[in-house]
Amino acid sequence: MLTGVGGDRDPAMTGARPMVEARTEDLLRELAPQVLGALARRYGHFDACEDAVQEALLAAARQWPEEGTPEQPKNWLIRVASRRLTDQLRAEQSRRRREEAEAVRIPRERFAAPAADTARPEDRDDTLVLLFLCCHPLLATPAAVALTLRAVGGLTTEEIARGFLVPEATMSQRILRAKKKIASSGAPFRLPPPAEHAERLSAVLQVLYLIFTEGHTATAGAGLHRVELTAEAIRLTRLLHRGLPGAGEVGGLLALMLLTDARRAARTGPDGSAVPLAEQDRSRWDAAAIAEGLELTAVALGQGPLRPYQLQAAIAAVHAEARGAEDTDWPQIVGLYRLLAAMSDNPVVRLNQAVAVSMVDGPRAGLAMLEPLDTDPRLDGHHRLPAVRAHLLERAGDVDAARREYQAAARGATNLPERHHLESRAAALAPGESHGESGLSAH
Amino acid sequence: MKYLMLAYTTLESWDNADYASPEFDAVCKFYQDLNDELTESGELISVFGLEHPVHSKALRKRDGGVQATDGPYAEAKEVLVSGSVVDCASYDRAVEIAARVVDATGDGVEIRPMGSRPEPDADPRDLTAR
Repeated sequence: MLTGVGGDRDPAMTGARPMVEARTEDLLRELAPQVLGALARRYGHFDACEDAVQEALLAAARQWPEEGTPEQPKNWLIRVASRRLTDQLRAEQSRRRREEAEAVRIPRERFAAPAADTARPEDRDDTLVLLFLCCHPLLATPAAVALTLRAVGGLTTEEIARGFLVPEATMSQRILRAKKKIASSGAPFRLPPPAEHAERLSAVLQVLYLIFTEGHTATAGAGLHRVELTAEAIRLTRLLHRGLPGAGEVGGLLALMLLTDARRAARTGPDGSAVPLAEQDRSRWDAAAIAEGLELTAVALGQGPLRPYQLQAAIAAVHAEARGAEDTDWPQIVGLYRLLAAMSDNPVVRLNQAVAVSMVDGPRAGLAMLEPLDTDPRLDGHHRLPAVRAHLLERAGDVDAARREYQAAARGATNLPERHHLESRAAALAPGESHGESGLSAH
Repeated sequence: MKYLMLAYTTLESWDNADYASPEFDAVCKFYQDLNDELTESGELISVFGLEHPVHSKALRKRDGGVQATDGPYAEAKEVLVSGSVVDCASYDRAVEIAARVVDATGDGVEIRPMGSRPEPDADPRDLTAR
């Protein structure tokens, strides 16, 4: 018998892995995409392979702490997962056979065109192939996010569900549908052809950034940070960066994440409320993350063409280099936002640009830039617009209007710490309170 | 002359094989010794074992297109389990080797002489000398 197979069969594929020591957990998470890559490459059936790998990880989490980590843990996992896959396919096929054998048509373009890549498996890292596959444009973004975290990140469905505050059954369905869609699309297990590479890479980066922002500013609930998602986004982006070191866009995104996450400890006050950038205690920023982020930014800026993530990283780098809000090189930030705004029609970029402009040319100049955004349907109901306007009005001395905007923003905020921050700002501007120049809103 | 030897077993005996039994060890030892012997004699070209037939996929041309079906066919009583290519002096020698495999493992073996084409400049009569 192969080591440990068969004796501990657990039909609950979505079950939580037992708590294991961090060393084993790290090893399993690192090996997960490699093992899945090896299986999917050898046997096809990406969806079935993914289940088999999750089961093998579960078996390892149970057995390794007790029986010791095998000498070749990757081979152990591949062996166990292969056996599970075989069992699973047999169960499926015997069920199907009772009905009718299923013939699948292979479209001519699959075999009439030359192979997009013919490199031998050992020449490359399957983690990249998996990332591209899980972030396939045919998947809706939430589905791609969930599948990436499970198939590439090696997280259990339960962990992912917890990260996004949805019931496990919901997340399980989402992942299942995503896998079926990939499997039925016939998308081959290989890197996208050169002609599609840029577009597909954008899709991957979007998914990674979404995982990061979901962790960084939770869209709902009480906690401002969900550290696990943030850390996972950084870890996955590191993997991508390791595989594509020459892609400035990837280095830019990693730098942006590191520089943003470096402020984590300073972003929340003792009462749990959000602390805006200008008021943060910069001694609490993570110096090591900033140093790495600055270095990555410098490299990424030299790797053209310049794309939004490199510019966003550059902006975060200017903030990180300033000792305080007043020392910030605002003209440079304004210049970077101008480039960024020219590149993408993104209303959130315009919002941040208005704040930067107000730091150079005064709050009225910033307020003027907000006007076109009032009619932008993409910001409809979003609390950031009234929050920024409130802040600029406050600085311009228009206290009553500022208070009204803070209140409107607080009503729209779904994140509790941010709502508390906005409410306290509104309260501080109540008639009779004294108030002066205050800092920037967070961004 | 080159021969393809294909060994078949039943799905049932494949599924019920006990990889920890002395019988299984004995079969492994038999194959090891046979491969050593045929390598030594220069007759062994290559040898292969297959994974479970559940991983097989059959492609057929149907309705003007290519269609694929997964897994073993229900009606197939025997499934391919392993094979080898040997280069031996005669058909009879190939049968001799195959018989030893059948006797030791219980698997069925099919022998197929491999087709050969004359090389462009070769005298057809030379074929018999190979």
